[in-house]
Amino acid sequence: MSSAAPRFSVVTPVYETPAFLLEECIASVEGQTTPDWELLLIDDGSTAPHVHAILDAAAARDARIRVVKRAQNGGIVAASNDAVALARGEFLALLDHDDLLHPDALAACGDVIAHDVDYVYSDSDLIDEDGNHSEAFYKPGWSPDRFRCQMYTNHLGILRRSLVERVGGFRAGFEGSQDFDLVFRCVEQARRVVHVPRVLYHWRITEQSVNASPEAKPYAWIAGRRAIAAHLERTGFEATVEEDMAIPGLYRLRPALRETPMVSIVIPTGGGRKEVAGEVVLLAERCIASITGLSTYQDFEIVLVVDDHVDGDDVQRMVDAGDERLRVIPYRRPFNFSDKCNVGVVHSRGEHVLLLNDDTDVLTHDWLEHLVMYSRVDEIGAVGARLHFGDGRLQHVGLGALPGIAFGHFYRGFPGDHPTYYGMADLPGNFLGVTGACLMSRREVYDEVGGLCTDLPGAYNDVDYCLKVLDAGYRITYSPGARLRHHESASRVAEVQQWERDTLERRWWRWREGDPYYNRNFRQDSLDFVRPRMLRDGSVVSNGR
Amino acid sequence: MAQPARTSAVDPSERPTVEEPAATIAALEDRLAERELEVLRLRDLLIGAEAELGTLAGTILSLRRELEAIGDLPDRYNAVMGSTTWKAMWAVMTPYRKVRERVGAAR
Repeated sequence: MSSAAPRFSVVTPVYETPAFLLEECIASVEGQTTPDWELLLIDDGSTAPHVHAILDAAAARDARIRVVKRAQNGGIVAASNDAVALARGEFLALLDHDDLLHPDALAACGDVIAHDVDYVYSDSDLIDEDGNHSEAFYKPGWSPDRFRCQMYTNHLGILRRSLVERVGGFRAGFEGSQDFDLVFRCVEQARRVVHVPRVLYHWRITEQSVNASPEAKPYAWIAGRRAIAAHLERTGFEATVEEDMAIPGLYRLRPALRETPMVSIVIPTGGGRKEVAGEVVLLAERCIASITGLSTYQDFEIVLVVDDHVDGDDVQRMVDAGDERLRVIPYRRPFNFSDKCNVGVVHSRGEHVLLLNDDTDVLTHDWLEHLVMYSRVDEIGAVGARLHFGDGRLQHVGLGALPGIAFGHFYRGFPGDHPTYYGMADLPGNFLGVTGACLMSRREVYDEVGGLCTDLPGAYNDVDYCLKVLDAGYRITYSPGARLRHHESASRVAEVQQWERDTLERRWWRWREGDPYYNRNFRQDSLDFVRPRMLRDGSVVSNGR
Repeated sequence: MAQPARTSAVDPSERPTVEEPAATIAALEDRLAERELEVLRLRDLLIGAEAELGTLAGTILSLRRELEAIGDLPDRYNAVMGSTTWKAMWAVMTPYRKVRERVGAAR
C-alpha cells in the first residue's frame, strides 16, 4: 500500500450484496481514470460466502482496496462510521454497494475541488440489472432551499473528510437517510458546495431498491423527515416539516413563524381593467380584496401607488376593498414601473417589502407566511411565489437564463398540474431570479441594492434587481407555498425593447455562459427542462447547443 | 479662527411652526421620500456602473486571451511550412494535386 494518503476515500458498506452487483461496483472504482483513491469496503456481517470471496479477491489484487469485516451486523450507520474512521483520503466519496461510478467520476470531481470546497455533488442516473440506463437526474447548482425539501444531491456526493469528522460522522436514528442527515450537518458549516453537471453515478434499480418504488423503503422517507426536522431545529429555520403525500421522497415545509414582522405590500396601479371569468374587473380592487379576504397573516400594510390620471371613483373602490391598513400614494410622473415600486417602498414602513402587480390575486391563505419564512433568512435576499395564469397554466415557477443573457420563465404556459422535472415547481428552490409580479425582500436588502433600476421602466427590472441581490451575496428563493393568479400584462406592456436587453447585457454579461441553476445538459434553447437523448451507456447524444 | 456658534441643526425657515405642524410634517415627509428615492437611484447607478465595469474588464481579459492564443500564429505557420514533414508531403502530393487541377479545369 502506498504510504501517501490518497485524495479520495471511497466508502462502501457491504451487506449480503448479490455477487455480480458487488463485482461491478468494485470494478467501477478500479476503473477510475485517476489512480488517486482508496476503496474502503466494510462488510457489515454478511453471511453469504460469495461476499467474502469477492472482497478478499479485490483486496488481494489492488493494494488500494481495504476490506474490514465486522463480526456482526451493526447497520449502515455503524459500518459507514467504521469506514470514516479508517479513511485516509482528503475527501470521502459515498458509494452504495450495488451502484456504479462513471470512470471519470473521481477525476471530474477532483477538477473542481479548490481549497475552500467542502462538498461536491454530480448528476446521476438509474441503471437496471441488465445495465440499461434511464432517468438521468440533471441537477441544479447548489440550492440549499431545495435541499431542505429533497435530498437532490444524493449520488455522487463527495465530502471533505475533516468536515465529516468535525460534525461527528453518521448518526444513529437516521438509518435510510443517514447521508441526508450527514450532508445537512456538513453544508451548515461548508464554505463552498460545487455541482458537477455530469452523470458520474449510476444508481442501481432493483426490485428491492428504494428507487423501484417509493413504498419499498418508507422508513427512509420517514428518517428523511427526521433529518430535516433536526436541521430546522439546529438552524432556527421557522418551519415544521411533513412528507409530501403527493410526491414520495419530497417534503413540505409549513411556516412556524416565531414573530410576524410588518410586511409592506406595494401595489403600483394605473387603474387597469380586464375580463376575468366573464366579468370586467378593476384589477387593483380585485387584488386588494383577495389579500384582505384570504390572508391569515395580519401584520401587513398595503401601499397603493396610483397614477394620478386614475378616476377618483376607481380609487375609492380600491380603498373600499382594503381596510385601515391601506394607504394611497399618488404617482404624478410618466410611466415607470421601477420608480412606482420605489416610491411605494420609500412610503412604506414594513421590515419586509412585497412588490405585487395589481393584476394578481391570492390563491393560498398562508401565502405571506411562506414568503416571510424565507425572507427572514439572512442569506436570502429575495423571495418569489408560484403564479398561475387565469386559466390555471403555469406562469411563474422561477426565472432562468439561457446562454447569451436570455432570461425567461421556467415551464411558462405548461398545465398547472404538470409534474415538472423532478418536481421542481412543487419544491422551493434557488434561481437566478424570480418575477417582480410578486417579490418579497427585506427592506435592508432593497435599500442596499438601490431598489429597482429606474433606467429599466418596463421590462427586466425584476431580473436586474435579482442579479443585484445575487451580486450582493444573497440568494434568490422560489417558494411554491405562496400561490397567486397572475393575469399577466393586463397591467402593462410586456414587449421587451432592444435597449432594455442592451442595458441588461451591459450590466450582467458575466451570466452570458448561462445559468448555474439550469443544468447545461438540458437543451439550451428553452427553459422547459427538455432532456437530451440518452444512450444505453448513459452518455447523451446532444445537449442542444 | 473661532467658528460661529451653531444654534440649530436645520434651517430656521424649515422649523415646524406651531400653527401648521401637520402640513409641515407632511411636507418634510415628502422631502424625505424624495431624498430616499434619490439615494436608491444613486445606489443603483453605482452598482450598475460597477457591474458594467466588470463586464468591460471581463471582455478585455477575454479578448487578450484570444489574442495571446493566436499571437504566435505566424511563427507556427512558418514553422510548419519550413518543416521537413511538410515539404515531403508537398512533394508526395504533387502528382495528385496536378491531376485534380486538370480534372477541375476540364469541368
